[in-house]
Amino acid sequence: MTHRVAGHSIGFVALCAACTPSLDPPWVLARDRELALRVEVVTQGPYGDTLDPEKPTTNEVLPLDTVLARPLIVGPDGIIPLRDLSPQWYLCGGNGNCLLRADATALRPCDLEFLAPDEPCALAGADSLEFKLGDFLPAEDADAVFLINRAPTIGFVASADVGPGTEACIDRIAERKSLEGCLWMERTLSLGSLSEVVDALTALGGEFEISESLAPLLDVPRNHNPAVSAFSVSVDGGEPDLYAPEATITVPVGATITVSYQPSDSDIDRYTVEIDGEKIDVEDQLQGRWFMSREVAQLEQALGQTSVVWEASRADPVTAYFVVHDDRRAEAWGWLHFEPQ
Amino acid sequence: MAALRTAVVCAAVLAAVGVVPRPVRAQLAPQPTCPNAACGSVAGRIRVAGERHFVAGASILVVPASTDSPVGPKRRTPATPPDNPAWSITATANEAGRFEVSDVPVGAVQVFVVAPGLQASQRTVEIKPGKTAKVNLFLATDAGTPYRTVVRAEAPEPTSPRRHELSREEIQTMAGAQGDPLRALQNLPGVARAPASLGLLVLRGAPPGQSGVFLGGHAVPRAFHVLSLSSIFPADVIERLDLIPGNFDPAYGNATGGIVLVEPRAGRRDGVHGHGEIDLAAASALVEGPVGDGSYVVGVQRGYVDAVVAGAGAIVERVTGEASGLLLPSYWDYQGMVDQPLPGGGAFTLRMIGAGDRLRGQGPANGDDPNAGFDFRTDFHRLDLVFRKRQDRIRFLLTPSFRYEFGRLALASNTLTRRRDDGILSLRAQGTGKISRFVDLTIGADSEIDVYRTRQEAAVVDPETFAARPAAITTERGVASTLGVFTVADFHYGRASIRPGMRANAFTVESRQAYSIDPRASARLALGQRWAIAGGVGRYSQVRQITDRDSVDLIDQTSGIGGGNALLPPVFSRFDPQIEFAPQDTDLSVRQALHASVGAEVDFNGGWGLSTTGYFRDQDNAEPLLFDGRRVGFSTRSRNLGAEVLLRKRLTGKLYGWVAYTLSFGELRLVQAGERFKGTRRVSDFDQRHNLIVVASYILPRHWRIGARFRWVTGYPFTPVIGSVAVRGGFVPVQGNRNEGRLPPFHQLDLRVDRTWTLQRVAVHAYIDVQNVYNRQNPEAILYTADFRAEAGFVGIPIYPTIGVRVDF
Repeated sequence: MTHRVAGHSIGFVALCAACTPSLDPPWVLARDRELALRVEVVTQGPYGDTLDPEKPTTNEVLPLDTVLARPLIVGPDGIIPLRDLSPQWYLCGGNGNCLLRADATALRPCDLEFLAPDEPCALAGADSLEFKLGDFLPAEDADAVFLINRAPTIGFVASADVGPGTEACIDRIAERKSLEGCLWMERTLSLGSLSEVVDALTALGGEFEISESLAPLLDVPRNHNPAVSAFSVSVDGGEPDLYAPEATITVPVGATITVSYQPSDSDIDRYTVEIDGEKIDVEDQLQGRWFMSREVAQLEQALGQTSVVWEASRADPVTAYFVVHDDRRAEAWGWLHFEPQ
Repeated sequence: MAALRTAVVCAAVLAAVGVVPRPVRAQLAPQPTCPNAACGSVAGRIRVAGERHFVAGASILVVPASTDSPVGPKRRTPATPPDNPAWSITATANEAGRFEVSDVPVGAVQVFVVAPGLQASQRTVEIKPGKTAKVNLFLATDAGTPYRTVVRAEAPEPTSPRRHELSREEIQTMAGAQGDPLRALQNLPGVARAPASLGLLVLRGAPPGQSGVFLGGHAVPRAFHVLSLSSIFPADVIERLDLIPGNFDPAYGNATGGIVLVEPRAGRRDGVHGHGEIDLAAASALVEGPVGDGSYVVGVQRGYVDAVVAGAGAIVERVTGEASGLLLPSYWDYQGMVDQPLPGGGAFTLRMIGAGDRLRGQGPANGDDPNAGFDFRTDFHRLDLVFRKRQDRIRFLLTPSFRYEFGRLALASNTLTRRRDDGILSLRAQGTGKISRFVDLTIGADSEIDVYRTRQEAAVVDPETFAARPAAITTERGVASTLGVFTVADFHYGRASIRPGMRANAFTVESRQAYSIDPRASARLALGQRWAIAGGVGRYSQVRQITDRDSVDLIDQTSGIGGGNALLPPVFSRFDPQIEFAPQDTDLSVRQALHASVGAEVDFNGGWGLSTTGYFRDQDNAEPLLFDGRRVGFSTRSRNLGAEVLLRKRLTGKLYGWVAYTLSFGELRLVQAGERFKGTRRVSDFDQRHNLIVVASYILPRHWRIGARFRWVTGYPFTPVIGSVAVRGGFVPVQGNRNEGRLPPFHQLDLRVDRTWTLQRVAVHAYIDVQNVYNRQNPEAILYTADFRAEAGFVGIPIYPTIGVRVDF
C-alpha cells in the first residue's frame, strides 16, 4: 500500500506569499466564465412518483425523463448567451472527465438508448440543452444492475470571442494543448430519489438489499431546485430593503453595501428521516458565491455564505452575481446592478 | 657567533616590521652584563592568535626598552627595535612555543617576536632582580583567515575518470552555500541546481534516490535534513569531500547515478580547539583535541527554524487576529570521532554520528479540519569502527558499523500512527596490494543486513463521545540485505593506467532475492606534465521494489496562493518528507545503468586547471512486478547525455574560484505502456539543459574576504495546466502533456562578505551572505489564475540575506 497522507498542505509556495505577482481576486469577472448550470426535469418519464407541477422543478433525474440544462455564462460586459459561443454539448457515463477519457475529436451523436453511454457522445444544443435520458440498462447479474445504472455527466465546450473557435478547442483538448480562450463545463447529474430508483430497478427484476446505514436515505424525497427571487440590501448598516433579481440600485459612493440572499420556503426542501427509530427533521443547506463585474474595495465574502459586504468606493456601475446551490447539486442564480453616485 | 646570530635576528625583526633592511653593520649589540647580580629573566610562550596553537621556532629579541615605551603590549603600530641598543639577547622558541631568556638586566625591556607567516609582536616588561617575568604572546596570521586546511590523509588515488574535491575552506566561505557541504557541491559541474536554493543531489540527471552518499565508507540513510534545509553533517568534521558524478569505483554499489564520498577528519593534536557558530537557521559547536597518541572531535548542530516560524506565526496571529496553520521543521545532528594510531603502523577510529528530523504541522487554533495536524519524525544513530593498516605492500581497511533508524508519522491527534525501526549491521572490508611493479590489486566486500519492524496503530473515533479508542495494531517484521563483492586491478605503466574491475551484487528481502554483475573499467593517460585524458565505462545496479510508503503530502502539485493557484514542477516532490514502511510482497527487481565517460584535463601554472568531460548514461528502470506477478503496466528507460567543463583556480594564496558549465539532456522513454503512450519519449523531471556557474572568493587586507556566485540555469520542465473544467464549486485543472512546459531560465547573483577579528585566544568571524542580490523573480513555480484559465506569472524567492557569527578558539 502506498498512499499519501492528507497532511497540512501548505507547500513550498505558501512560504512565498510575498513573492508572487498581484492577481485579480477570484470573484472578479475579468474574463468570460461559466458560473453555474441548472438542471431541471421538464417532462417526467415513466419512473418515480408523479411530480407536483405546483412545486419547483427537480434536479434529480430518472431514466426517460426529459432534462433541460441551462448554464450561466458571464463576462466583463455581462451575461453571454451560450449560443454566441458556438457550444458543443456532450454526454458520457461516469463522474466526469468525459473528453479526457476518449478522443474528443471523434464524438458521435448520442443514441440515448440507455442511461449512461459507453463512450462520450455529442448532443445538439445551443443556449441550453434539452434531451431525453436513456432507459435503465438491464444486467444479467441482479446485484450489478444497481451498480451499472449511474447518472451520466453532461457538459459543453465553447469558445469565447477571443478564443480559437469551438472546433479548435476540442482539437486542443485531444492534443493536450493550451485551452486559452476556451470554455468548458461539466456536471454529473443526480439520480434520485434513492427510493424511486430502488423501486424502478426492483420492478425491472433487480434484487438487492439496502444496508442499514443507507436505509434512512430511502425517506429522502426528490430534491427541488432553489430559486433566487429576492435579495435584501442594506446601505451603511441601515434598514435592509428587499429587491427582486435584476433590479438596479443606486447607492452613495463610499457606502458599505451588505447584500444577502433571501430564500423563500419553497427554496428549501424539508423532510423527515428515521434513524434507529428516531425521526429527525432535515432541511437543505444552501451555500452561495458572489461574483462582481469589476473589482470593488473591502469585499468580504465568507466561503459558502449567502451574504456579501463591499464598499462602493468608485462611481462606476457594478453588477453583483450570486450563485446558490444546495447540498444535492441543485443550482440557481440572480444578480443586482449597483450604480454608485 | 652569538653576535652574528643577534645581528641576523635583528635584521629579521626589522624586515618583519616593514623597515627596509640595511646591511648589518659591524657594530653589533653586545650581550648585557648584570652588575651586582641585578638580573632577572623573561620567559613565555608564543601562540597563534585566535587559534592558540604554539609557534615553534619563533625568533625572540630582547633589548632595553626606550623611555617612552610603557609596560605592556604594543597595540597600534609595531614598534621597531632601536638601531643601536645598548645590549641585546636572542632566543628561539622550542617545539612547544616556549622560550626563556636569562641574565636580563633589571629594568624595562622590550621583547620582540617574529615568525614566518605571522605578524611580529612586541611587549615591554619589567625585569626584577632574581625574578622571571612571564609573557605570553599571540601572533596574528598574515592570511587573514582562521581556517587552515591541514592535509592529514593521503591524496585519493584516481579511481574514477572525473572526481571533484572541495576543501573545508571553500565550503565554508563560498557565496550562497551558507557553509553547507552538499549545497556547495551544487556549484560543481554535473550537479543540477536545486529549486529554491534547497538541498537536492541530482548528479548527471539521475534522480536523487539513485545516487549514494557515503560517510566514512558507509551509506547514509539520507543526505539532507527535513525539507532539505541542511546537510546531515557540517563542513567542520570533513577531511575531504569528493563528488564522483559517474563511473565510480567498483568498491561502491547500490547506486546508478553518482556518489559523494565524505571522509571525516581526525581532530587536531596541537591543543584543545573548537568553535561555536550561530546563524538565522541553526547553531553548532565543536571541540577537538589530543587524547593519548590520537585525537578526538565532537560536534553538534541544531536547527531552530521551528522556533523562528512559531514566533513569527504568533506575531501574525496577534496582529491579524486570524489563526494560522504552521509548518514547524526542526533538526539536529552530532558527530564524535576518536582516532588512535596503532603500534606497528595503522590507525583505529571510533566514530559515532547521528541525525534527527522532526516536522510538525500545526493546524489553526480554531480550525476544524481533523487532518490539520501531523507529526513526522525520523532519526538515525550510527557507530563505526575503522581499522586501517599497512603491512608490507598491502593496505587493509576493515570497518564494521551498526546503525539504528527510527521513523514515525502520526496524524490528526494520533488517530493513525505508523512507525518503523531498523537495526542495520554493515561491514566494509578491503585490501589493496602491490602484486607486481605494474599491478595493484584490490579485493573487497561490503554488506548491509537490515532487521526491521513496522507498527501501525489506527484509532477508532467513538461516534457518540468522539473520543479516539485504539483499535487495530498491525506489526510486521523482516530482514533485508545487500552484499557486494568487488575486485579491481590497477595496471600502471609509465603515464598510463587501466583499472578493470568487477562488482557482484546480491539483494534480498525476506525470501526474495535478486542478483547482478557489474563490470567496470577506467583508464587514464598523462600526456606530458600537464595534460591527461581519462575515460570509463561500466554497469551500475540498484535494487528496487514496491514499498508501503507514506509521505506528508506537503508539496501539493498545486497550491492556492494570493488568489491564484501555483503549480510546482515535479522535481519539488523530492522535498516531501516520507517514510518507507514494510516492503510489499513483490519480486525484487534491479535497476541497471550503463555509464560511459571520457574527458581531458590540463594543469596551468598558479593553481589553474581546466577539465572537460563527456558522459552518457542509459538505464533500464526495471519497474517492479505487482502482487500477482504482473508488471506495473509500463516499463521505462532513462537516458542522460551531456558535457561538463570546469576552469578552476585552486585554493592557494588569496583567491579561489571556478567557472563550471554543464550541458545535459535527460529523457524518459516509455518502452512498454498503454497504446496511447507506447514509444513515447518525454523530457526527464530533472533535465537542466544549460547550467553555468561562476564562483570566486578573494581575501582582502585587514581580514576581510569577499565572495560571489553567479548562476545561469535552464528552467525545470513542468507539466502545464492547459485549462480547466468548470464543475460545481470551482474549476478542476486539466494538465497537458507531461513535462512539455519549461520554466524560464534562472539567473542569480549571490554575494558574501566575511570579516575576522583575531583576538588573543579566540577569533571571531562574521559573515553576511546575500542571495539574489538584484532581486530577480526567478520562477520556481507557475502561477495560474483562480480558474486555471491563464498563466498569471511566476513564484520565486526574493532577495534573501543570511548572517552568521562564529567564535573559534
